[in-house]
Amino acid sequence: MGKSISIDRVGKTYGTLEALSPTSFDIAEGEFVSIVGPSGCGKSTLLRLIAGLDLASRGTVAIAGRTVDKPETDVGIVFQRPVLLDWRSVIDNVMIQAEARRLPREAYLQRSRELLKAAGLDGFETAYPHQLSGGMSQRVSVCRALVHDPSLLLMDEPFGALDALTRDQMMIDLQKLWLRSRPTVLFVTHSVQEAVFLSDRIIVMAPRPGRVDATLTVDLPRPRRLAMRGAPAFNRLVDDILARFQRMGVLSDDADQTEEAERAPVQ
Amino acid sequence: MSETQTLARPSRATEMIRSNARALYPLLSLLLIGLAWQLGVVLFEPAPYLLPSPASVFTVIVAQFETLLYHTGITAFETTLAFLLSIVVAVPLAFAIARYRWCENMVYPLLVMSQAIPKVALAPLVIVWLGFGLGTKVMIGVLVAFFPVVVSTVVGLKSVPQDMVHLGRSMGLSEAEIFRKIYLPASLPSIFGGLKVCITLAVVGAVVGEFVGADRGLGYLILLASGQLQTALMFAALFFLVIIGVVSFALVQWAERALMPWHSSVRQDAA
Repeated sequence: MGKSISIDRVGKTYGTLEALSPTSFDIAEGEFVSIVGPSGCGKSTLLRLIAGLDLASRGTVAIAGRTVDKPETDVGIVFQRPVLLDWRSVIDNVMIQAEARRLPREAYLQRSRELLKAAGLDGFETAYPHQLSGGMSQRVSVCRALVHDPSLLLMDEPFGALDALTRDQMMIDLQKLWLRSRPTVLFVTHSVQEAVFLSDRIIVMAPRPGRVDATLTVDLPRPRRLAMRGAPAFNRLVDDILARFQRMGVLSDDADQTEEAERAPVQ
Repeated sequence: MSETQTLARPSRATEMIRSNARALYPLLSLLLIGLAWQLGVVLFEPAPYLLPSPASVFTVIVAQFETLLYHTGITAFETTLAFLLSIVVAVPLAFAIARYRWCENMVYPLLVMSQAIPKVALAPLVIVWLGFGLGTKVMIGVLVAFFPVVVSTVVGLKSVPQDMVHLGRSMGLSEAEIFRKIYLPASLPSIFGGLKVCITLAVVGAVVGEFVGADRGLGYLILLASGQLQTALMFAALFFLVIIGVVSFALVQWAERALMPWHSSVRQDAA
């Protein structure tokens, strides 16, 4: 089960550049929250602050009531790129979590195999990263983030570098894996579709300086299916968020049409 | 770990065949050059002290094989020591430079400046300090050869993705573990790039050391043969020098393959 996160007037400046203006919100235990926003809105910064990989210039981040002041370890992180260790096989890439935490090897080997199987990587345990496609590599990195059953899953545009078809499959698989153990998830993305499909709640951020523009609740039943993206309730949320981007002036006409085109095939 | 190797195996067999076929081409061109050389000597009959025929060089190699082998052994030993010592000096230095900003600021510019000094010009000074023994040759070898290892190791360490280090921190790895499990393997490809330059330069350093003051080694033998106008012997010594260079380079390459079969520079499918 997940831990709660409390963000209290957290801000970050790099030199004179304000990356994130003071921001506050709370995330409940086991909640799936997405952060959407254009680039430069401080969403990745926020993620790093929560992970304790970077320290806030002001304000406090607390996880389950404890202030974050060093790298969090009860956490699984998925980056935009898979960040697999090239010199380790697939199973060893997943097992590095268990090694680092000195967890019992046999039990976690078993668990790693199960996870890889659930992620559709059955039979690739002994392959090396260079033998995998981009989508497969990212699946391995999701397994690596989940194998030690963390209370908190942080994902920084994890499907951003994948093709549309693979992205859809990854969304389904992620939802399935998340429903199994229900960690708290913070999912950073620039895809509005992805955010609405996966989240309980969506935090819309605005850029320069990064700040929270709105928080929206997604009231759709789970497990969600790909076909749900055609539903009126789904599209109302997507349109609402896109309209906000337009008001921020970060969505020009061309980009707008791209978003429309992305949505067209499922309708 | 053994089970993780199975997928790489079939490609390794084809790799062997292909690399053997590739090795034939340079041998073929060498053979052609040798034939042209022999033909030139037969046609134009230059004085043997100017240009001996390949055949007479071969005769010298056979006749003085033991002498040549002895001096080759000396030079190879000096080269090996210079190479190993270069690693021992360069890799920790590179880690310090990559890890500590003050070290980079203080040491790196000096190191770069020091490379402007021709190392050959330092050789007489090294003799004054260390005498005519083994130490001088090894020291000159290190001076000539260690710099590329420093540069390539620094580059390798600095190009480890930030995300990879973040990943290590989030798993609770200590600084030492992050170094061992992430920085070191991730920068191995760059380190080996430097080591390949280093090993060839180590041979150069050893020979320079022998030129300025020695009573054994291939460099000494070349000087001796030159003084006596035994040009065929000089060619024979050069031939053995080439063998040292090629074999030592091949050994480094072999170590590279053995240590990082996963890397694109040594993989067949990435070509």
